[in-house]
Amino acid sequence: MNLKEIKELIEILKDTDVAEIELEKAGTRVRIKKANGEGNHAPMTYTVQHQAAPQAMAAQAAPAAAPAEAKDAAPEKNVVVVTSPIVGTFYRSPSPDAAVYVEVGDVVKKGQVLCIIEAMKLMNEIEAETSGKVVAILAESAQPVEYGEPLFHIEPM
Amino acid sequence: MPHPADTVLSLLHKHKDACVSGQALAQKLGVTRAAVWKAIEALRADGYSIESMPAKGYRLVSIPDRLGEREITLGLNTRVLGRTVHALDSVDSTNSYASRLAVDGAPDGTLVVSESQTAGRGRLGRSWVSPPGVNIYLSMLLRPQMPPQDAPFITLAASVALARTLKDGYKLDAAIKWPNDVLLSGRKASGILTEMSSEPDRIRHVVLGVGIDVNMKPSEFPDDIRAQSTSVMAELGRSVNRAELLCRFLEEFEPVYELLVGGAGASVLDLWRGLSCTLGRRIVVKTLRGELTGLARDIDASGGLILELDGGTTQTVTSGDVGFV
Repeated sequence: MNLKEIKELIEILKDTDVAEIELEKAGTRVRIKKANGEGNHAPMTYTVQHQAAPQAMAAQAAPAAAPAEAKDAAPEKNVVVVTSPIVGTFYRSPSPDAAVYVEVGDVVKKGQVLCIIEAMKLMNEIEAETSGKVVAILAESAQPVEYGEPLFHIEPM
Repeated sequence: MPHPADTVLSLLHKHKDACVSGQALAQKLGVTRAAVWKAIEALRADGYSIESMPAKGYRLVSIPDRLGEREITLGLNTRVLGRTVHALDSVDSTNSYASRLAVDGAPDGTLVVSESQTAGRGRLGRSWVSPPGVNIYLSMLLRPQMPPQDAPFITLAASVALARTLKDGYKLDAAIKWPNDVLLSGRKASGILTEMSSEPDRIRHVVLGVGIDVNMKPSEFPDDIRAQSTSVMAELGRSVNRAELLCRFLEEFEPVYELLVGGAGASVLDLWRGLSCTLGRRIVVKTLRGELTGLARDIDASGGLILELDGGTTQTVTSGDVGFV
C-alpha cells in the first residue's frame, strides 16, 4: 500500500460519517481515524503496521499457533506518524541556544511539545497526540516543511 | 448594575465635544445632582479631566493615559474583540498569560493588556523590550474556525490593521516589512508574535501578541536596536493616548479578521500588498540556515515571501528576518 492509496482512503473518509477505517493488504495494515469522529475533520493520526512476514504465509504454515508465532518471529512495529499541519519552518528547540524538545529514544506524554513550525511569525507548537517513545525524527531544525510532511514516528506505549 | 461613575463617564464620552448638564446626568441615572457631582469627583480623582462650566454642565476633556479596563471599554466599538478585558499592571508575557486563559476556556476575542512585561517575548527566544507605562503590550485570544494552514493570514491581517491605524488615524508614514513588522518612516515601531495551538485539521486557539512602541523615547531603546527603532511619539512629536490607539487598532482589525475567517484570505493578502514596503525591493533574508539575497517579488497564496535570487532562481521563504540592501 503506497502513500497515494492512503491519501485516497483519507479523501473517502472525509466526506462520510465513518469515523475509522482499518484494512490490511499484503502484510501492511492501515488504520485511519478521524480527528474526533464527528465528521468534517480530516484524520488526526494514521497508524501503519509493518510486518516482516505476510500473515497469510504464517497462517498456512501452522494455522493453530499462527498469531503467537508471527508475533514472536517479527515483532509488530506500531508507529504513529506526526505530520506538519502547516507549510513552514521546523524547529526542534524554542530558540537556537535552547535544548531540543525531544531526542530519539525519549518517552513523551500526550500533549508534550515535540517541535515548533513557524510560518510568517506564527509559531505552532506541535504536541504529541499520544504517549509513547520517539523512534524517529524525520526533519532537521530550521528546515522548510510542507503541509502533511511526516516529522516524527512515535511508538505508542 | 454599573457604577454611577462609569455611567457618567460613558455619557460624557458619548457627547465628547459638548457639555452635559448635571440635571440631565441626574435624570439619566435616577440620582440626585449631588450624587452626580460625587461621581465626577471620583472620576477626576481617577485621572479624568472633566471641565465644569457654570450653567452649562460638564465636559470630558481627556482620559488618563492608562491601559485600564475602564479606559479600554469606554471607547471600544467592536463586536467580539476586547469584549472581555484582562488589564494588568505587570505580567511575565501577555502571550503566556493569554495562553493560560485559553487553556482555562476563555472566550474568543479575550484581550490581555499590560502596562509592562517582565519577560516580553519575540521570535525564537528573543526578548521584547517592555518598560512600564509607555507602550502597548497586548495579546488577543482568537478561536477561528478555519484550517491551521490558513492561520498565518492572521498575523498578516494584524499588520494590515496596525499600519492602517497609524496611517489613517495618526497620519504617520506606516508600512509593513515582511511578514508583519510595522515600520514608521522606515523604522520598526511594532512587533507581532503569534502562537497557535492546533490539531492537524483544527485550530484550538491562536494567541496574537502585538507590541507597539507608543510613547517611548528614543533614548529608552537598548543600544543594539536604537538605530532601527522608533515610536509613535518620536515620529509624531507628541505623546498619544494609548487606550485610544489600542481601541482604534482593535476596530481596524476586527473587520479584516472577519474577512479572513469568512474565507476571503486573498483579499487580506491584497490589502497587505498595498501597505508593504518590502515588495519590489532588494532584500536579504536572514534565517538560521544562512542568508538569502535577492529581489522581493511577491507573496504567495499563504503569505510566504517569493524571492528572486541573484542567480535567477526563485525561492519562497516562510521565516526569517528581512533587511533592506
